Amino acid sequence: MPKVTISSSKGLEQTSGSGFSVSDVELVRSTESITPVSASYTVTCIADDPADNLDDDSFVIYAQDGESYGIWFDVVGTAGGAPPEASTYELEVVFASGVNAEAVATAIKTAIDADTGTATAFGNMFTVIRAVNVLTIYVNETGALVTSAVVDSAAGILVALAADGSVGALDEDLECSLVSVGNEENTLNTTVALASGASVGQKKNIIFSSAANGEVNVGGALSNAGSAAVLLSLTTPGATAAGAACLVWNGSAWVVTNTSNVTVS
Amino acid sequence: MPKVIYSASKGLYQTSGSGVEIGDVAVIEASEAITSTGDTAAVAAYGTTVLTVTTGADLLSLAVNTNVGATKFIVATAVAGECTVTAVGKKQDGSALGTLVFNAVGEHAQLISDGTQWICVSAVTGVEA
Repeated sequence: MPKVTISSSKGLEQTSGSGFSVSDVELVRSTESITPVSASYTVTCIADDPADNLDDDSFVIYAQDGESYGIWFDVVGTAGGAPPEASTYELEVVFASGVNAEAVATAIKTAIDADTGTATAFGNMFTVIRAVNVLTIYVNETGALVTSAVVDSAAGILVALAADGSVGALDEDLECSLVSVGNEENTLNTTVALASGASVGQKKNIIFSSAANGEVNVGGALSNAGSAAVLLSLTTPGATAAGAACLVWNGSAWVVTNTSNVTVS
Repeated sequence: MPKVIYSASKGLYQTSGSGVEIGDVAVIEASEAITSTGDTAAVAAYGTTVLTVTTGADLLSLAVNTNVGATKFIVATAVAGECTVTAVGKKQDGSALGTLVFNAVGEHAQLISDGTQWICVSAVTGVEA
């Protein structure tokens, strides 16, 4: 029977006996690195031109489930007042005639942030980051958008889908996955999926890196201390936050054998 | 795509498919035995280290392993003093890890690297410091 030994001096060699050993060198694991981000839109605002103002212009973005959210402009002192684009939910943004692009962006963010009256209100469905006249509007719900359309009738205001929320899945065949967070806001969470293992005894190590920009979760068929579970989470805020979970596939679930700074639920 | 298989009967061979499969034997990774004698020394940044602490307070160091997913297991099998292993990383509770202290037989720690630091995923109470 052959025995396989890998060493720094001889490389790979087979001798009599049985076994598979690696001596004086590191066994480097198969790894991947994944940085999931939430779905988001980029809105580049322009100044309001009194000669051709933005009154009644609008754009429509979508929540993860496909519900449409229309944002329309009401310029003070102008006629009109009805949103021109049909949408399930509507939000009026008021600003003065002739304001600059940054003021338009600020007005949109203020209106969205303030609208929190219901669970489906704009402020509860979206998180807005503003950089001068450019808004990044994150979709708070995790998962890929049902629709990736953007309806834009606001002349000059550029609205684009920046990320569709398709965060992908971990490669269950690789022994280690490094999962980081790509969102800009620490209230945004992302979840990536871990598929079932292929062989009993298959190992999977997951390293979580930096939850400063939102909670990162891994969802899959888990078994923790004898109970079924579905989610591994790194929830600790902080730019240097890190955690890890060690899993072994038992034929029907990933058994959580060790964790560090990770919750299992 | 080739699939590499080891079995005790055939040794190492390739078939169609992909992956590496080690059948009917355990994979024995690199290991070292360190008998600490009061000197400062480095433990390998991979595999298993078996500590024998002979006397006094010894100081060892565990360097960062830049390979994501690298694992390290340290266990003390004989202790007559105290051995401190310095390591940069995180404790299981997420706080900063500075040292691993071994002062009793059977104490152990298991760590995994994220490429920049060690994350302790298992340790006997009191080892992390």
